[in-house]
Amino acid sequence: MAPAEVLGNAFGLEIEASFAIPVLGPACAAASRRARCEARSARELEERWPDEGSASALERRYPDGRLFLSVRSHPDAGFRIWAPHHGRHLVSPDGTTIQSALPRRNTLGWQRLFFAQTLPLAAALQGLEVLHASAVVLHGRAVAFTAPSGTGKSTLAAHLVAAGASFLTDDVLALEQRNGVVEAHSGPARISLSPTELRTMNPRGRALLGARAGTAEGKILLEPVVAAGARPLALLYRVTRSPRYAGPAFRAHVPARPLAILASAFLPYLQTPGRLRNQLAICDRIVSTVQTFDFEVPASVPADEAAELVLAHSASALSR
Amino acid sequence: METLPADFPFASAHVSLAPHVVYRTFAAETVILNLQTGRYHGLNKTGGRMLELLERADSVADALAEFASGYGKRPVEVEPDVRTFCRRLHERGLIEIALNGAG
Repeated sequence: MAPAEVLGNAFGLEIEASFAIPVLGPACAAASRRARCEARSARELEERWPDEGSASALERRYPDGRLFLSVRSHPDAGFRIWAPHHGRHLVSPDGTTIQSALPRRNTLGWQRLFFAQTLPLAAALQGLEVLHASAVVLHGRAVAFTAPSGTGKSTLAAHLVAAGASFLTDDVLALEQRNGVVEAHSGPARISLSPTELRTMNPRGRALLGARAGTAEGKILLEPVVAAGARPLALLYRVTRSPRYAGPAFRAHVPARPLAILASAFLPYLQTPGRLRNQLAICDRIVSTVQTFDFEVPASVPADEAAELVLAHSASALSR
Repeated sequence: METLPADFPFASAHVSLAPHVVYRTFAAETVILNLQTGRYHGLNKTGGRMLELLERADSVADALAEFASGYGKRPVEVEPDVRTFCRRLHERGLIEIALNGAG
């Protein structure tokens, strides 16, 4: 087995690995939990995985029926995550060990699976709560966006970074309570954006989004500088887009709507009593300490304009 | 979950939260979490208040009396709603209902 070294952190985990994992944030004190990643062959993983006694936790298929993603769980062995041509991973029940079989080609593909499913699962198993959200840092505090898939939370975050916000995470946000405060952890330094949106950015804003890593599923993968570590979560926007909206509007959740927050939980298949209790506890802290809003965006409003509105609104909200 | 008979004597029954259920009361709603199914259930403010009273009271009749007085009504006026409420929570496996003295 190759020796492992600490490579950096993401989602509140210090990552120790025997293989190269790019775009992790630098190791920092905020990550008090550790995940050890070990490279294995696909055959080794299959030999280690006791299919008998395992159950499907999640299965997604392409429209033509081909398997896109499979997650299976086993009470003793943990979880097996597999996406054809994107690699497979075994995650221990406590989330501290990840064994990975990576494809020789399709480097971006395995990284996407690893960052989108494997590391968030390890983080959740170690007691962090994960939301389906993107986030940036404004005035030293985390500002997060939840939205249904395809609504544009990544695009909104990208435009905010292009406008000078610091990048925190794309698509998955790991949270934990510390001293009564909800802390938002940084993710890997990667964000995906459509070529059309990238073209709307001026050169300075484009440069702030970092180097281009490649393309995947029609999106350009960029590597912005990540504001590594944890920041107190101050604002949470639930973004909805519709042609029915007459104009952009921010609507404060007064009183707070806990079910709307719980609906944005990531990895819904992970329903251990411990995770569910933690979810409810984090939700309680969010309701008590975080300003939450609906941000209604008419379909005709471009993302850069929406980002400007968020900048103005968040500046006002953070000053309260 | 077993369906309660139509003539179930609610008034003398005692309600308790199912052991696999936790809930939190927020400003405008109460969130009930079923740890067995992983499902969340939402109650409005009125439902949340009713659940608190049912869980605390020795009998549904006692909860009903306190609930009704809080809304300036007589128990008989709110009883049908409370019966329906209890039945629905029971059907979802969120509460247990036992006749007082039945162990």
